Amino acid sequence: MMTSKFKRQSLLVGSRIRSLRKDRALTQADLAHRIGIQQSDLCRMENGEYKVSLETLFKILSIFEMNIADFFNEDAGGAAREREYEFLRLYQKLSPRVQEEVQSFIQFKLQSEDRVRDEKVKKDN
Amino acid sequence: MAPELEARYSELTAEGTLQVRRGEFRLAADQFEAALLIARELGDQLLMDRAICNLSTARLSLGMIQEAEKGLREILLKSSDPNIIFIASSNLASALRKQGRLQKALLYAKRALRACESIDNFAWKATCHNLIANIYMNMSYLDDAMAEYRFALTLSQKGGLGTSYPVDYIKENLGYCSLLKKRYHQGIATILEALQISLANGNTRCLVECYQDLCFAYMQLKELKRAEEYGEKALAIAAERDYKDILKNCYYLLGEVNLLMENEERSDFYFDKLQELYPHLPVLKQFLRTFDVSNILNLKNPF
Repeated sequence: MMTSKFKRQSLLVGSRIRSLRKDRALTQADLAHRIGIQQSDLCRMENGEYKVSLETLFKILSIFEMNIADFFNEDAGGAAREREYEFLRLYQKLSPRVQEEVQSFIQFKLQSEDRVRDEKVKKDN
Repeated sequence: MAPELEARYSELTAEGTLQVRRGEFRLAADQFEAALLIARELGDQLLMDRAICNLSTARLSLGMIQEAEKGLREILLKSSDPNIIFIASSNLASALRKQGRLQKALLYAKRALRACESIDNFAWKATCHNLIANIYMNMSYLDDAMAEYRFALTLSQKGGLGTSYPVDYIKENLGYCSLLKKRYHQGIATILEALQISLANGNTRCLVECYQDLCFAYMQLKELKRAEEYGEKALAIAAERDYKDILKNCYYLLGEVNLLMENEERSDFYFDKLQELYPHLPVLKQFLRTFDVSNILNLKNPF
């Protein structure tokens, strides 16, 4: 489960839509047609001047077949980040039951690391 | 026989109109359908047109957009009655607005406004300006929308409408428009006025929109407990009355509010509910948990 510390990123949806559209070689007219809005409105949406409904937001997600990594990619900084996105992408493919197992495993590893750290501190003292 | 049928037609129409104002759209649609059958039996074109227009109003509110459009264009081609032209044009404008065809919607809304000029009905004129404002708001032309809402309120005052319909809707929309412009306290004050009016008028649809928008406003102000209370009120009514658009918005808002309160279990509950409505989009819940989309949303965009 993702914790809320990841959460507080305001989505700059406009610029992201523009770059995703260009990545997929879609014209504004093509994309506007697929979303079901006017081309001029899409243009304003890309410039951040147009507010969308939940329905439209989800339609955009669906059209681009987006995952969270796609959106994080905007701020990507280096190989470490890439590895995290890849992990996230793979994690999303798992069934809920297996996702829970992965979470338990991570918890277990974190506790193990904590124990090792505590023991090291004791020894040093 | 004919006078009896005509009386029954008038009765059904009046009952249906009352149900629309109470937000009981399914009951209203039933009344208008029954009125249409009587009009057909009487073979009276004017009564048929009026019943089709009224039925369209109820269906629009039920989210039956395609059905709501049925017969309106034909009426506009043949009718010369300004009352009928007004209702047909404004309903067509609303139907197009709900499909995101905003430019066309604006054209029909302006046609309705022209039809209105010859009718001495301030409530209709105000409704028409409210509709134009809604279209501007959907287009994110917020200043134009606010000017239209204010003009609609001025007309309502001029016509002595007091706090009757559609003043509750106009104030509610104006308040929400202020929220979109980040004038939260101003917006809340206007929406609270609308809330009181809609309670007094028994206008459940407007009431539920007030609760939803107050939830959004307090969420943006980070007064989260209050936001949650209003969100839960909106959700309860939306579930009871089957207001699907409000239901989705409430799942999102309550998921977001609870996430901000770090109540992850409750947040998951609401986001899961929303996720269930979009099974083809499995990343939706995680997406909403990851990103704050509150600043890019217009909860009143129907498309």
